[in-house]
Amino acid sequence: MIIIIAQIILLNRNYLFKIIKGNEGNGTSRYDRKVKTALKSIYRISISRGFNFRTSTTIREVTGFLQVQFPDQSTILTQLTRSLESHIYGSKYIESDDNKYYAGWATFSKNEMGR
Amino acid sequence: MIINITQVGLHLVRTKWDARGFMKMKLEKVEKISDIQHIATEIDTEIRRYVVGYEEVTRNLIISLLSGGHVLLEGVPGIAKTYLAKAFSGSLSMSMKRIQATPDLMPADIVGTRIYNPKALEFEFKQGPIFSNLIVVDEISRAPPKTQSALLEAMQEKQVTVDGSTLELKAPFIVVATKNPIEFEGTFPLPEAQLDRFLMRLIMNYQGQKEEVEMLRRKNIKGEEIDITPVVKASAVLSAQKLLHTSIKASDDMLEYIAEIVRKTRDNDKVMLGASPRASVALLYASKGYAAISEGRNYVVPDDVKAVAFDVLNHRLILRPDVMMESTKSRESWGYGLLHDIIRESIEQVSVRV
Repeated sequence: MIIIIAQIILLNRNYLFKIIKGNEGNGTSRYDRKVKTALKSIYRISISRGFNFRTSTTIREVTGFLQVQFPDQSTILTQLTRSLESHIYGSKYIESDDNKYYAGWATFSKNEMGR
Repeated sequence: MIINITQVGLHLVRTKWDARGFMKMKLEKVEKISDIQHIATEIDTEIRRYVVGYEEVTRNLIISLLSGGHVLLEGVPGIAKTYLAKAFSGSLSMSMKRIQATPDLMPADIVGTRIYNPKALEFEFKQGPIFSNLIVVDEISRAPPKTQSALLEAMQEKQVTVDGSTLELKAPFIVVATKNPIEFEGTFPLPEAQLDRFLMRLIMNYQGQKEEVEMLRRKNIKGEEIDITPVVKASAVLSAQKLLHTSIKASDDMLEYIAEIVRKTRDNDKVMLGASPRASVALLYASKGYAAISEGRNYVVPDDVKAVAFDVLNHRLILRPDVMMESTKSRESWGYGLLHDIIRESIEQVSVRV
């Protein structure tokens, strides 16, 4: 029980979690809907696979963990990480070329979460 | 002869054919971030021909060069600190001077002095080695405090004052100093305020067995010969520095992230004095350098900050005396292990901005 409470407190301090919940700033998300959806699924799958989230966890650390878990998704995850970072930290729009990676990950994550 | 290769956006100068049969080019000007990455690769390739097993140190040395910062290489004797500094300087086509620090080294030996010219019947200023683009200072802690002070002032101000006149140093200007952590006899420890002037302190540990054997293999063939081809000109380094500072952006969230990590070092119980605001600036510049040379990105991500944080912050923390005594008991790590822990803790306490 204590562990679960501690985990919830930690999650609420993690910005990745705040994005997903939509309260990273003034209550409205600054980010593209596709980005939020991808982050949400990345987050959920990594938790289900036992990833130990910390306050300081970065997107790259989570996707790195997932690449080890799902080697067949490595290319998609690499491209997705690049696209997510450029949108979040580089204030860039999602490039049309990246849509296939978002779609590929959406399909994979849907199957994975449906298990 | 200048060749403008538009496909890669680089301005190159034809130099010579190297031992492997490739025509080596000196990079002259940088226009895109991918060019910065290209410069880093060229320097790295040259250094790797001679130095084995210090990839991370080499990378951070290049980051410092491109960020316009100075470097302190620290490690036990015989670990190739000077060899690496020589290889690094050899890969750059710019003026370089080496200063062997000794207890009788005077500020005038570095800065220069006025000498009477009997023909002209007047005193003339003879420039010291500081008037070069790259200065390698071997065993900096052997120089007396007055000389260290003169050198470190030049590092910060990028100018020197002689007889009341201020003289500008060459640009780019980078100091690579070496120091070993074990000798105290006949040495003068660098004051913390002066250590702060180094963008990074790069700690060199022993190579792994595989790397040591590889080093022996190379020595077995070439001995001590170093024939490094200069691949980057001073003008390219200058334009890369300018591009790095102006074209690679760190968002407001990233600036807050950097500042918060630095501030956390000040709250640690084991630390008497944490990192200064100058450390925040250094962390920003080094992170930009890492973003550029690792992936050719024009924006900084938290992983860039994490990657360079230890090398930027480790020499800027003053530990509590009792903690310091405890940490240096372990001669194997020379107290670096504790610094690692403190910096890691500071990073882990800060929420990653997204």
